[in-house]
Amino acid sequence: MDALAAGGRLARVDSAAVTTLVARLRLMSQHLREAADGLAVLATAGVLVGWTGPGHEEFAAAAAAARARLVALGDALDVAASALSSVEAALVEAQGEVRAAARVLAVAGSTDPVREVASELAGALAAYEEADARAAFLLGDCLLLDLSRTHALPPRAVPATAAKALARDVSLPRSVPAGPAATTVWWAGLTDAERATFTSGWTGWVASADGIPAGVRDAVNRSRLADAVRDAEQVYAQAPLYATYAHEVARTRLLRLKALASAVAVPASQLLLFDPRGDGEAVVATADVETSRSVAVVVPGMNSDLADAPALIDETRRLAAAAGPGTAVIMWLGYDAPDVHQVVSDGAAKSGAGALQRFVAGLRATAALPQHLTVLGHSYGSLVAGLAAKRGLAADDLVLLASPGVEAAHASQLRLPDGHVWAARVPTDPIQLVFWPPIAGRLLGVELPPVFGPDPASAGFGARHFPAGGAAGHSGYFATGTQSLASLGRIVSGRPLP
Amino acid sequence: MSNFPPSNFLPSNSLPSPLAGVQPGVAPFAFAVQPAALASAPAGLLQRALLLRAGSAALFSAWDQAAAALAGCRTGALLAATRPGSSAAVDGCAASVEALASSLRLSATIYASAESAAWMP
Repeated sequence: MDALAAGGRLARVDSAAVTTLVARLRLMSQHLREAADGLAVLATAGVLVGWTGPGHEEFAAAAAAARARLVALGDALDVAASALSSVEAALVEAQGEVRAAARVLAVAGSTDPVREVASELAGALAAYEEADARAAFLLGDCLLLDLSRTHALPPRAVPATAAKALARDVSLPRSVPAGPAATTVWWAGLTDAERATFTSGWTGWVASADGIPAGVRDAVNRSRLADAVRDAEQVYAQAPLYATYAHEVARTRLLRLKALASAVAVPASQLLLFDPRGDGEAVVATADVETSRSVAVVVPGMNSDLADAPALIDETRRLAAAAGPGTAVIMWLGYDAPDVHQVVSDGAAKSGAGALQRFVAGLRATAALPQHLTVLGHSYGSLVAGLAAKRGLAADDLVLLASPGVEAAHASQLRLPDGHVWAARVPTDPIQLVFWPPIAGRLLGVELPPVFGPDPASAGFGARHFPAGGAAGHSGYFATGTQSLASLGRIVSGRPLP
Repeated sequence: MSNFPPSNFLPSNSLPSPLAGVQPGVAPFAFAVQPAALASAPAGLLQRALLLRAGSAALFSAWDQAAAALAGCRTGALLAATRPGSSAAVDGCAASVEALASSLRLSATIYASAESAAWMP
């Protein structure tokens, strides 16, 4: 019934409203062009011919600038109309599928959709979601941004669409079991044709489905990245030069995507997640995560986004080299890392912890051999890893680097065997400032608890410490030639520390 | 908000002097700027601006309805978020055209006055 209710909501979306908007956008674009033409004629026809001097020059400059704005706005509205037109077409298609499904179900006398119906429905809904995402990308990231940059754009997290809810309720629960381990078994039992249905029509889902083979996810995510680069190139080419901010946004986005594409072009690397929305999410492995003997997942901290991905991937390569052959290290930017003004909240960490927990469970499920699996959290990323560990993380070792706390009073709360929770913080790391409130509180005679609990690097926390010499500041733990990197390499590969 | 015309824009300050075109015994239609054309230009521009204003009201009414219909979708959220800025951009363009039309109308008036003056004995 939930599926039908969700389908009903989609079917009730007034596509005519979108049709009308598309028509009016095109009409306004036409008016803008006609007005621009009017100014052009004014400048070239006999009206102003013969008018010379500074006054004419000012008037001509004002008219030329106004004309450029009219043309650029007309172009922008034209592209917006095209984007919305594609949304409208996908919406009408999806609504048709919903109605067809409803008719089949009415004849069958059941509210339980048959698999064929669900599959057809899924294709149309995926197309709708794709069109919605592409249109939103165009509308939000370039064309109208310069027109509305003083207004906040919606954040990357948007309410689940009716299509998404319907897809989830109608199709996936019937065939896809919950949980990464069960997903792995289910995938193995599909025919090639069935798998193709998902990899071609459900790319958004396959891209992030934990328990799906890494090679499949890699192929789908590389395709998504290539699409994003292509879209960004198109957006950059269309970004109006008069709007320097929009132009710069488009250029920066394109450069970031190309940098990521270049970083994952290294042989053997795997792109296990790519989501360009908002700040972007990406999960990149240095080697095949299914056949490597040692696997490490590195969770970066605050302010990390797609722009940082190449540098973060470099860190994972250094760690893989330190750990030795047969190691895959994963840069896991699979959560929306907070900005500096959000960092005192654990909201992003709690959300990321669930995703990390599922991801690690998926690694375990798809592994082709017994592996030593380590999760390393740096800074705010250690809070993500710590919260995931409190829920139950399928890792052999957990490393908390430069941690601001993990909302646990003792390492034993992290549910790993004794001696498998590690912590390090060098004296020059300013993260220690987050533990000053209690000290300040004692001086002031009041109780000020640390934001995320006690210091994991303190003796009382119960984590093992390792030599971290040579690391400097907050971000030097993976620096080449440091004791810190060497120690991490040993922990990741399961070798004893010297 | 329109930036046009510039605050120091004085359309009459550089119109060709009507007297400069007058030669003894020569009719004033030899003036470089055609007064009739100058006078009709603002009307054409104002008509364009009027279409933009009317189109803007219809466009953003449809914009609001589409944003409401697509509420919950990314596109709907973006339509809602970009609506104020887009509306301001369209209105700014209309205002630019109106300002240029006003400048021309003022120029035409001044020019016509000067032309009359040129005929005065």
